[in-house]
Amino acid sequence: MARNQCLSRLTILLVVICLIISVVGCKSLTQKTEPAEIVYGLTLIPSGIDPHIHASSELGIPLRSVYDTLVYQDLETREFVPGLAESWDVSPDGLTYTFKLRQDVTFHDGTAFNAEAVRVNLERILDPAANSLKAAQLLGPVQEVRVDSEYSMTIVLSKPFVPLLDGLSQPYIGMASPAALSEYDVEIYQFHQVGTGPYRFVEYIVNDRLVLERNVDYNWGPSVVVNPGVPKVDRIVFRFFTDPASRALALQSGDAQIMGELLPTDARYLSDEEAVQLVSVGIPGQPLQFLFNTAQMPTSSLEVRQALLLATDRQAIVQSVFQGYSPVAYGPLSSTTLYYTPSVEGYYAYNPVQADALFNSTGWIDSDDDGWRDDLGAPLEIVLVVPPWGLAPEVAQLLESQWESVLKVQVQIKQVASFPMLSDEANKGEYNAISLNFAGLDPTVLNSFFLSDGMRNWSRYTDPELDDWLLAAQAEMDPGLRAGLYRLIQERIMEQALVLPVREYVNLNGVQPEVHGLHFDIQGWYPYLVDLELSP
Amino acid sequence: MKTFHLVRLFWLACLSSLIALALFAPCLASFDPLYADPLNQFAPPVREHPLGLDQLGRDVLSRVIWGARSSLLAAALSTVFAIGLGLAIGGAAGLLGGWVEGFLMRSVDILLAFPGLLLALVAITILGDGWWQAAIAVGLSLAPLYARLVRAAMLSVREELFIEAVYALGSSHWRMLWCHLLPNAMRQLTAMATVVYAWALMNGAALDFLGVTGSPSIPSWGRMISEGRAFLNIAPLIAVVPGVMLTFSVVAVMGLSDSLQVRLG
Repeated sequence: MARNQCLSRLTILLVVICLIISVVGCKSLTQKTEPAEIVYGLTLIPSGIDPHIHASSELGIPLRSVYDTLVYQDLETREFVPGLAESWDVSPDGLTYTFKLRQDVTFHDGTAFNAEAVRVNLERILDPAANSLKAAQLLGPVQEVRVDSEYSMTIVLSKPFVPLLDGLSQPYIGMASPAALSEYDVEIYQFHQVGTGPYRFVEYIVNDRLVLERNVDYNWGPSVVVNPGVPKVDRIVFRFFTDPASRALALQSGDAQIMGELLPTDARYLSDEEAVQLVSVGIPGQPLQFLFNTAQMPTSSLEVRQALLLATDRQAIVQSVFQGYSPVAYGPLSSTTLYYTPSVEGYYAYNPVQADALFNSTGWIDSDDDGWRDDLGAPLEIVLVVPPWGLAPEVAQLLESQWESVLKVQVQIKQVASFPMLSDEANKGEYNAISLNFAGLDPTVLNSFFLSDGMRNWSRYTDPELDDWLLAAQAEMDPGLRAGLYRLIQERIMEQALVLPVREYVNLNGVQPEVHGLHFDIQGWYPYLVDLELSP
Repeated sequence: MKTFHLVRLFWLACLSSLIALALFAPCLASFDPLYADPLNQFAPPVREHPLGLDQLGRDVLSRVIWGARSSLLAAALSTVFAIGLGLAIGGAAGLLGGWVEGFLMRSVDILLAFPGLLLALVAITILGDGWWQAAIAVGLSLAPLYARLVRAAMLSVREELFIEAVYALGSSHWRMLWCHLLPNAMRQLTAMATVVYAWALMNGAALDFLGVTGSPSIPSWGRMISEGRAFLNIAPLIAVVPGVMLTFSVVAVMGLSDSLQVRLG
């Protein structure tokens, strides 16, 4: 009996040992055959990810590689190079763009790419019912999209629009499969996107993940990438790290191999560690800025706006909040944007004495000696509206401290949670300054902010001359004349103190050492995932 | 008996010192909690700044002291609101009985089915974000709890023989509530109120942590923990000190509540 028991125990022990060995063995086997996968950390959850419709910069990070664009722009030469379009011609009057398309391209669903597909895509974007927030603006005054033959097509403009090629090179005008576009409703398509790019869109689960898998048929990459063929990394999983404090930790623990928008303090700390490489990318377009509301007291006064600018120590903000990783911004455009004017750097250097004097000249003074300037007996108040991203709340708190101590005005900060809430506040108009900036290499990014009838004229500023310049500049074919117009525009915006620029946007990416080949397109936000490699 | 007295005295002293901190914040804090010196961010503790400077170069000690003011005061406002509403609902249910009781208590049950924080967030969405809105929202989220406790206390008193006698003598509902039910339930209700206060402190801090209580610059412990945790490896005091203060306050309130219950019960 005792011997039997002993035997059966031995058997059990043997079985258990065998099981453990087989499990461990299997694990090491599966590890060998496991596909190469990279987890890429995104930093906010876009309110929608249909590139034709939504405007978030975040959506382009994965989707740049799901879609190809008609043209690409070379980072060094700033020349446009062929993408899905093999070649193109622009008529001398700048109204007609004729494209000859590649004939060897197929969508991820197997359908062929041709001129008709381009027409369907562009008309989808231009359809007013689609409510396109960005792509339609990038296309400008398109009058007609004409299919000339199977592989050639023409875009006809009603007015010359120079940045058309720049728009066509951005992921917002990526070419989607017409079959997929007609299969799904407008709201549903974003979960089933089909393009021609090096990566296939596999799934998007809001708040959780977005998965891409490589397109094994891909061999039509543009000259701006190193590897024009099939990507080396099988799968890229995008996860959301909305809490900035969690990003460096995820990178260090290996939960993510690439992480965007690290906190500058964490980047400083990681750069000392050397276990993580930092890839910092300057983003052309608008800097982190506050738009002054010219329709709301007291920022309706030019002197008040100028005093607020003079009372802002931008250098201190950049040194502390951004750890010196970003250049100080001086005008409505970052210095990496086309036609940036260095002359704006002469405006509004930090000068508390002049700021105070200028504010005194407006008549808002501290009449009851309570330490605050007054308006009709109550302390004068400046209301700042800030979104949660881009460290805008931290910057706002420093503005509060600087303005309260230099100018003796009370500052109230209103933090909203999302882009729709920010738009709501903008439409209500009960703010003195609000923070929003768009990225973009071409200075037409200014149009929606500073045209009198612009969609984001949150400065509520009307200036027929500025309107004329902005419209003339987007139609001007001569680069020299265009640069001159943009110089006038940038100077006017700063003379009128319509914005408080704070820092040029820099995306601080952290990358684990085994990942190689991370590089970004000329717009700064969008990586060419096709070039990523994992060292064993 | 004597030790209980001493314990109660100890917790009372702790709580009073916290309240004193809140009341006299303008005198006790040697710096403006909003004044930022960004070029000296993360400065380590020195005699002038015993807890150092935070990520924007503000004095951490002054912010902790001012944080006591907003955190304790908001919790007090929430508690008053929760008790007022809870007494009204629970009192009406306990006193009137019948379908009124059924209706009120089922409504309270429905509200209790949601986590308190979720209720508070819903309330903030409706009221808008701001300091007092957040306090009211926390109060609203705790009111169902208190209503239930009030009703339970009422029920136990209602069954007493002397209540029957009072009814027999022709007393009005109001007189019954005011002169008999409430005074007899008072000791339980007081102890419970302190528990509600502790909850209000924690829920208020949670809302601050989530950043839905209005301006990010008003110093509050929850907000300081939320912002400071990004810098734990550089300047741990920014988040740790407000965390310790919050824990200490909740423990002090709970300790007082316990000792009160021992004495009263």
